[in-house]
Amino acid sequence: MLALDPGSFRDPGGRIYTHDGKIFRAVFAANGNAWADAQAAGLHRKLADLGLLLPVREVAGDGVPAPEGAVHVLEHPRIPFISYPYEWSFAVHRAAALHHLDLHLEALDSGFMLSDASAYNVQFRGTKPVFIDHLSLRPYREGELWTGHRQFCMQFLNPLILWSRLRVPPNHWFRGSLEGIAPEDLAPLLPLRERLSWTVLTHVVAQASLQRRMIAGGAKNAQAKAASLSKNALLGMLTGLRRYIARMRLANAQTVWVDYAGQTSYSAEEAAAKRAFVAKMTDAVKPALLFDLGCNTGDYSDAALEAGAGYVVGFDFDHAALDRAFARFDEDGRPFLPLWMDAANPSPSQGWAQGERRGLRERASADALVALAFIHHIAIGRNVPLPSAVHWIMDLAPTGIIEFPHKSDPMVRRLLAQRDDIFADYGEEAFFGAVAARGRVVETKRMSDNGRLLVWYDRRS
Amino acid sequence: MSKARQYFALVGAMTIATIVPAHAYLDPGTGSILLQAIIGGVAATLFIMRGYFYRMKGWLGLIPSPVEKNRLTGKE
Repeated sequence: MLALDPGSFRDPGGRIYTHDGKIFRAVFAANGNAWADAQAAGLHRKLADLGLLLPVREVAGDGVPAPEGAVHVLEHPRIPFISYPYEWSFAVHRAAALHHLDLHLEALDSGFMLSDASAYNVQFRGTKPVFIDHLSLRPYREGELWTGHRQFCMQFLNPLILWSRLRVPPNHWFRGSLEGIAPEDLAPLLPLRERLSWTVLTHVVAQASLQRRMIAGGAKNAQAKAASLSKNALLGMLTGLRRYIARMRLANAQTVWVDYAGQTSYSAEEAAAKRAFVAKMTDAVKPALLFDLGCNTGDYSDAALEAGAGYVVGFDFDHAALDRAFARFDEDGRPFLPLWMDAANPSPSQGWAQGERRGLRERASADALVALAFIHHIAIGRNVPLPSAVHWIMDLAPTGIIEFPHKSDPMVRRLLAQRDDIFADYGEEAFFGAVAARGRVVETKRMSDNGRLLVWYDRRS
Repeated sequence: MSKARQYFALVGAMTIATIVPAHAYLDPGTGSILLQAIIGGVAATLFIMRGYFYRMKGWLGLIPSPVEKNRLTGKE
């Protein structure tokens, strides 16, 4: 059964669809010869070999159904988990921006350019970015403008400036404004000292000013001879932005939970015992996709990967922890993707017809999960009734491990330190009751030193 | 700041008559088009000069030549 991807409608030149669990792309006449030209020039193969572009295979004639009007039918490997820019931590967003510029520069080397600069077209395989929109590549015409410039600023540059210069994570803003952060919105927030940089002055401040003036002056429809941008000017803009973004760092990154593992509630033996329990479950289940809820810097994702998990997506609320996890797994290249998530308000289905960008639950279901040192953050930190918290977690994967810290646990006490204890129902009995309502307990493990409980649940059969 | 704005407004007014939206399905934004018209010359000049600079360093043996391109893009 052929199913069109609800997020792939903007470019009339093509459409992503699924069939039989596989990912296909139809190329329509509106694409002109862009696909064929790039293919003939060996561009797709070159970029895929460099790891910049998702591999592609033309399958016309293989009996694959296609939407009406398809001129070419292409097949792509599946990305294990689609992520969106408002779920990226700083390191992930920066890697995506650099990747986009690298791909653009390589394409220009071969006489092609990108027709847009959507951050949604950069996806991740583990910590490695990959570009997924082959139909954005089209032949470069000497003198043409960089059409995707404003989009690049809104979806890559401006969020990263907000982050690195003003120390404000852009995720909440980006999630509400799916096209990104406009120069007109960012410019008024920038103090004078930040405007002195050439990149900020031109791409943010001047662009915002020009945009406002032209809209106010009603000059948007002005049409005459085409403006032009020399290739050296385009290369100058792309390499200038790349240098600027490559130098970006987060100053004094503050974190809430990064030192968690080093705090008193965790001993080395306990950590080893937890790792062993995670490994046991992973080895038994052999999940292709595992979610690590509250992954912190990825200690138990690491354990799951070592025990044979195919791919791990780690979620955390703490950007600094995610950035550390990114650096850790980026170094050895293992398939781990860290994503930012507020578990009490996960990514919703949104965008056009509320289907363009899918919510966490609609996007993929994991084969297994671990939720260690996690549930008290929603059940106590966010007042979510315990059964509701348990069921939400269990609904994300058919099997997995949930850690339950009791009320006398130091981390729970810390959450309760500044507030009244209104959580009379928070206890092991209620926890087991909630698990039993959805599935069975496969095995439990009690931590010897602090009494925390690990429960391996299974809701299949 | 107001001088800079006057400058951009002036150059903008001079260039607006020579602008046509690109053919793509993506609206590039008038501000972006004007900006590219304004900074294109500077960007090109800087790009060419940087290229010469790194090439010269390469000739003098100060940096290995494959590093040239990376220096241009800020690659580590």
